[in-house]
Amino acid sequence: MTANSDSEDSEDLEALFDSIVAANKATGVPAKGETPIKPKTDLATAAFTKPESKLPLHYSSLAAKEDSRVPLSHSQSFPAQNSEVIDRIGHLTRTLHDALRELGLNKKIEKAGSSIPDARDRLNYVANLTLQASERVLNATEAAQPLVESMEVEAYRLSGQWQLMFENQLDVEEFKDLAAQTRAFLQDVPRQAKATHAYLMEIMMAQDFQDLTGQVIKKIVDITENLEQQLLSLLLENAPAKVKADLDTGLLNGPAINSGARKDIASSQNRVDDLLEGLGF
Amino acid sequence: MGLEDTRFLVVDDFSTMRRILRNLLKELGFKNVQEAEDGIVALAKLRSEKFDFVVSDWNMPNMNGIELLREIRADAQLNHLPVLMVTAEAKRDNIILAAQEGASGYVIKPFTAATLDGKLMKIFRNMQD
Repeated sequence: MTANSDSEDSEDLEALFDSIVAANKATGVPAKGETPIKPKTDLATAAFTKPESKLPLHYSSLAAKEDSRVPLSHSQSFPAQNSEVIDRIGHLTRTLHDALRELGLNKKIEKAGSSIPDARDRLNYVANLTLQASERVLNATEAAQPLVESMEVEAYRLSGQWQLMFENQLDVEEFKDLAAQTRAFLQDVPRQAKATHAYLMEIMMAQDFQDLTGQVIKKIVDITENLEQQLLSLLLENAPAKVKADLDTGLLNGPAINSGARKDIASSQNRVDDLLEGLGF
Repeated sequence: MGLEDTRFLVVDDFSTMRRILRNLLKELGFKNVQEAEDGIVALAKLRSEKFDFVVSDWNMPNMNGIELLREIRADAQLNHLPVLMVTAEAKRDNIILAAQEGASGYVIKPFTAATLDGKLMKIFRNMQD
């Protein structure tokens, strides 16, 4: 998930930009797009290719299990003359219900399933960027340290020599030598300071990952919230009727499985906890 | 007024990026830099104070960089301002859109001090033409 050729600047791209700007200048107004242009490209979305979703294999076995629980006949609960009709209606209703639910379920499982690799890719991208940044910072720090240390050591040494000079402990030759050394040191300090400054800039520039990873992390928070909602909906839809009724009236004041109300289902983490508890998890 | 007196407004929703841009501009000799965290704040600042140059991120909440650019170009008091767009990706469509909406230049993240310098100098040269 590192920068590919699509996301790098190039002379072609710059020439394209310049030509449009020049055309704008000629006409006096910014030219509106003649070709359809995406109004806003979401970095985090565009940077990743969503993997093709596949229906989970285990769904069919889930459906089969549901089927096995359906009573084959309701003849005992209905008058004999109607039992066959009722039985058939019952089976039809069950088939329709299962088919409808299968449609809804598949969609939800598909959505939930596909968001996981998406989030994983994004997290890998964040991990890579932060790794690169920390290596840049450590490299620059390690490179700058000897420069700063040598300046410190040399300054201490020269200052000690000057102390001796002021205490009249140096002869003329030693003083001349000290003056030459001091001059050389002073000439060298700007070079060393400049190099250190360059490393400090490098450390600062290494922080540019925060902007990119911040956007990706925000996106992952959205994905996980969405995943949580999908899973909760699944649980609610498949909860025993009694539990569902309790939840509907007690917690939600309305049908929980209404997709339009999904945002309200878990407006807070406490609410999610309550829901899960209500469902017996 | 020398180039070094240019009054910059750096617009980005991430404070890290604003600080990086501020430091880079300082490194390039521009000490007069102010910041805004989105297009709305930027527009308010542009309308209440005097600026010479806008460096704006693309993706921001509330009002993104392109919307800010449109507002600037539609405002008779501001439409002369050079606007350098900072984008996280060099998508062709993005660059075309920025140019069509009247951006003065663009720079792609992550960038170096030298790249930023090159882009700024090009805009200054174009302004003199």
